[in-house]
Amino acid sequence: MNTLSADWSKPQRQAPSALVILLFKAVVSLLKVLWPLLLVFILNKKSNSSDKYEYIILGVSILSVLRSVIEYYNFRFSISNDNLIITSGLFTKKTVTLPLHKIQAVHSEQTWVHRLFNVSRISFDSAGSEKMEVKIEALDKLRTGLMKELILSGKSITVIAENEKQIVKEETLITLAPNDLLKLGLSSNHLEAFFLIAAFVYSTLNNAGVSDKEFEGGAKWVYENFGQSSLSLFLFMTMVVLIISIGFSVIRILLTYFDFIISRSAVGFRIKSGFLNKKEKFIPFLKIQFISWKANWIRRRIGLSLLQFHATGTEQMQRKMLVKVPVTREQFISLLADSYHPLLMASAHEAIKIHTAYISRRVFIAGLLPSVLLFPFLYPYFQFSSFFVLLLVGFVWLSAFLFQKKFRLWVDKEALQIKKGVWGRHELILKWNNIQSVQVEQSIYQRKHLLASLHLNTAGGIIDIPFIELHKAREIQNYALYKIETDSSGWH
Amino acid sequence: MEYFGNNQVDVSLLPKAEDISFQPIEKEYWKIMKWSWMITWSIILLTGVMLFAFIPGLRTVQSGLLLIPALAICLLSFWLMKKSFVQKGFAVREKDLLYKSGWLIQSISAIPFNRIQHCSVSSGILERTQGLASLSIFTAGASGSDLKIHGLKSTTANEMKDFIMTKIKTDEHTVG
Repeated sequence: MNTLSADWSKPQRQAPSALVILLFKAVVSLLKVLWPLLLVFILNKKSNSSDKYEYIILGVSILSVLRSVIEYYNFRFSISNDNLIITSGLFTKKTVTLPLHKIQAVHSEQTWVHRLFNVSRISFDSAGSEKMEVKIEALDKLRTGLMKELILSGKSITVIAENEKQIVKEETLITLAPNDLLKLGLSSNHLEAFFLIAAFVYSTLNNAGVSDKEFEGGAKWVYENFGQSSLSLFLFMTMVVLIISIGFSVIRILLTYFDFIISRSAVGFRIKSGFLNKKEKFIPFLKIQFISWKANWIRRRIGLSLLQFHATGTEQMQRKMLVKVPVTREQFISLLADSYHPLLMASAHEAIKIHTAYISRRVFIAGLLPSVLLFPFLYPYFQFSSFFVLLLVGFVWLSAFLFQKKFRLWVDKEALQIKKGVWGRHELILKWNNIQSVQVEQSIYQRKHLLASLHLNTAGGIIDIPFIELHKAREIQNYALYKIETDSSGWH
Repeated sequence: MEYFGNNQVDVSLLPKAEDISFQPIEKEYWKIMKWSWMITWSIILLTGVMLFAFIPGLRTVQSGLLLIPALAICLLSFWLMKKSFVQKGFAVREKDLLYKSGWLIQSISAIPFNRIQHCSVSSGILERTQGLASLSIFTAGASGSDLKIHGLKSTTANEMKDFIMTKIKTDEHTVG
């Protein structure tokens, strides 16, 4: 593969194992669709009555296999004149021409079937081609690596061949030790895990024919055995919920972050992780719009955060690039952020804070108003208990109070940094030139009190700065416009 | 040696988006807003009347009383619409476009030309009767960052679109 241009310019097939993978995919999708028919067929077999089901299953299976074989033999890809060209199809011939410089991201993925054959699925995302996904189902390791580097560099084929060694050079930044994984698992959102598993169990049992009455029977059994005193029932249920959700969270984290490595090359970050499905994602530096990192209450205490790169692109592409990088040490955050913009020194900048009026307005709009409106509807059903709805006011007050107290905005020549959060911590850093548009918003109350909310729209999402002084909001808007409009580098 | 400049920027001297005078949208657009309001509320009230007429269980005094808040909301929405119509305005500067809207929540959006991906002009049936059109401006940002200016004269909307497209091309050429 020394003369890359010669290799890529010829239309070529996927790795031979692609045929097996395509067949496997066909079988899986067939099983998903035909399992009721298959079930009927098996039951009929027991009663020794052969009928049309055999022919239907056989016919559909043959068609599927044929489709996979045709798909494999008619699929060709090449790179010519700095365009990725993919041709496919038999009856409907389809040629996709994708200019290399338009490709925003390259993703390679290995399911367990891919790992059996040591190949990867490689897919490409491009701006302006929403919902058009281009992928190669199976490509051998060598060609996968070369193609990724070639496209990510955004340079011509010949240049890449010369600089290949330099581009491939990577520096490993973070790996996760088993105890890091355990810490991550134990500090996950167990409530979310519990509800996920509860919903899954309920729907599975319901599908399997377990009726709501049988659920009630189970609940009755628990009540009869443990319900002699409400305390033992409560303890039993708490234990069950805790064990199930913690176990589920730990397994989920292990499956997602097993063998996690984030490395930095000259063009971007490479992130590899996964247990059963090994995933590898690339985030080119140029595509990063802003970086955020957050930690819940427990993770803050054990020094853990999840860092996220907010990249440009379609929603589908952003989902693909979405990787939450576990950060086990505070200094790793600045290490990762440095490639985008160094973190701002809080001590060197005056912090802009949210006005205290934010608390009363939140309490009024999100607490008091809904409570007062809900109360008359709830009272006929719950009588005295409906007064509990007023607890919402207290909850909203506490949340708004903590948010207002924690919020800090630091502004620098090239970037701004925000620290916020209610129970946990959430921070982000954004470069001015990554802003797409700016909006200053004022409610009647804010107009009277010379306050405003600011919305900074980026290609990676919207950043809201609520309830700051009006003159500061305007200063930020004017400065952001100045920075964007004098930016000659363009955004990506 | 190549000149490297890094002068301090006096923020107070930057052009101020809040100081510019906004150009109001066409008065004819108020007629369209009124028509849209009438059509929307006719549908809502007609649905209510039909439910009242055809579902016997709903023919109660309590249901009838619901008409009072419904009418109140209907009139309130008209009043708010009138207030917000007066607020709508736009301004084209050398390097960006500003749009002012809303009364309950007043906002000023600013989109620099070098962040616009593309723009389009559209005109619905009601708009066509008044010779009006809407200009939509799209950036690469989330959907909230896109802008739609209603109530422009058809010619103005097209001229603005051409002006923006020329600006985008010129900027691309300069950067490239």
